Amino acid sequence: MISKDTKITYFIYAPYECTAVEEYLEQMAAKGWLLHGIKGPLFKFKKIIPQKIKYSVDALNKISIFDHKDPEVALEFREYCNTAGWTYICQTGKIQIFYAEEDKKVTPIHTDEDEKFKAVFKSSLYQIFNQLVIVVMMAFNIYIQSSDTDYLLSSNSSIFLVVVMFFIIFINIIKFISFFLWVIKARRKLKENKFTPYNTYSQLRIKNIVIKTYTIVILFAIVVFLGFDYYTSKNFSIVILILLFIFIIIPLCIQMFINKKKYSKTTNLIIAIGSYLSSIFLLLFVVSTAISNIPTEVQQNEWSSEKPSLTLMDFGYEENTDGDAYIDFNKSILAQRNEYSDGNKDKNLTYTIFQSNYPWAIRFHETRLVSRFNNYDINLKHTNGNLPDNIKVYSDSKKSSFILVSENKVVNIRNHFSNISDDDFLNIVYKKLFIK
Amino acid sequence: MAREQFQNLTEPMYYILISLLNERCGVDIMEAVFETSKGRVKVGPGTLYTLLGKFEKETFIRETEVKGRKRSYIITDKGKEILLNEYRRLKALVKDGSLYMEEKL
Repeated sequence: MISKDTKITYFIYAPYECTAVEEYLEQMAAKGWLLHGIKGPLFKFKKIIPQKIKYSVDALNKISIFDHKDPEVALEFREYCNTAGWTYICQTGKIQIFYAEEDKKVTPIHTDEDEKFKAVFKSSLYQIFNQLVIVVMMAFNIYIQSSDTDYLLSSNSSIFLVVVMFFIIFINIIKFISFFLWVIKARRKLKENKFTPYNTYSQLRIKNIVIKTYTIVILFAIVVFLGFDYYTSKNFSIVILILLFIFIIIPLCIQMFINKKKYSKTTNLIIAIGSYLSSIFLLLFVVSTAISNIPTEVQQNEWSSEKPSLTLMDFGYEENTDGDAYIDFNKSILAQRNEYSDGNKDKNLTYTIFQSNYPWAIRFHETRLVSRFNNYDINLKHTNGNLPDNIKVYSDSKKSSFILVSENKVVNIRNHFSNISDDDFLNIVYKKLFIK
Repeated sequence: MAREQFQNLTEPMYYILISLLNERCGVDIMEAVFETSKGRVKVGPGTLYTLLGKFEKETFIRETEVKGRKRSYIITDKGKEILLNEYRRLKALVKDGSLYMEEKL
């Protein structure tokens, strides 16, 4: 955003990259832009005559992020820097920014490298902890999602969500590793009593370009999914929008509220934790409501118009006049899942077909399905039925649950019929579902 | 662990304690250190702020008055003892070395 006198840029950095931020600000000053304020990753500049300006981006560990904007400690610190000739600009989190004209002779704010390293290190710990929590939460989420592999792989929304979670985990791990590397390098340099490099500006600029590109790609993907994907239900789009609202706008409001009302640190801490917990609660509520309400109306019509390949009638029963069979269907770019259930407790037929053109998806689902059954103490063993060799058959010792696997299909089915032998049952299933 | 870092004082620490032998306002200390060391030692406002905090915690100095946001400090007896020990240590260093250095120079 550029108006005539102000400019706003988007720049991502971590507290330990303070020197790189200083270089960036000095470059902007040489072009004629003086830093006016910072809000998160947004930098506000004001137009001035291009000149050489020294910046000091300083991490003050004594203030807590839960303090309101101008706590006593920070004000005192600024007083000291003022006397030394530095002019205060703004504060963001634990970082204070000062500047002085190049030709003014000022002592740098930190003359003790060891103590500066300690301050920067401690101020970065909060962010690092946050990143670890995010990684653990995402990994756990993915693990839970992957327990129902047929649902996961046959829904474009689920696939998209998992991909996004992987990206988030990847980015956070990179951030964590680069912080760790910096700590090791800096500690080593400190022992030699030399100046510690806090990441140069060129490295930070590259990082920024990478992160910005990735964000644009993800946003573009979100728009495509919400607007154009045939198979994504509209409920999913609403869920995503609500998620964005919860995780971006609410923390901003809380932050502004904390800054306006100058409560004590403990009160702020309670407010922050309370709002964090309630937004997680809200999130869980929204997600669970949305999941229970995602009727695949679109898909249901498509499959209902064609008859399911295998029905109760194939086992010698009349068409069920009590009600409609339960049919569920979902399709994604990777796979497709058909579910069918019909009948009552005396005679019923329930099965799920998972189809994919990708052998890895078939193998993945097969392994997960078999291990899930084994977890329920239904020990599935590989049996040699009298079906052709290209069909793998798993059955349990009581011989009522079966999993049939071909190269592009996995069928999960139970034999509830007491008057039909397992071999005959399997033959009918094979004929109807595997022979085209 | 905090005690260990004050066994040997660094130069800024030494000069700050010297400048606080008289009551001084926090912001004046930077200039005092610069003058006492004849321009050799410069302490930045951030470092000064942190050190004053550490000294106060260890009761080497105490706050005398607060005028608005300007705080004044003065050294305590404990601080004087630390300072004196350091001064003696430095004198011993110079004396021991002078026997050998004078020959070489």
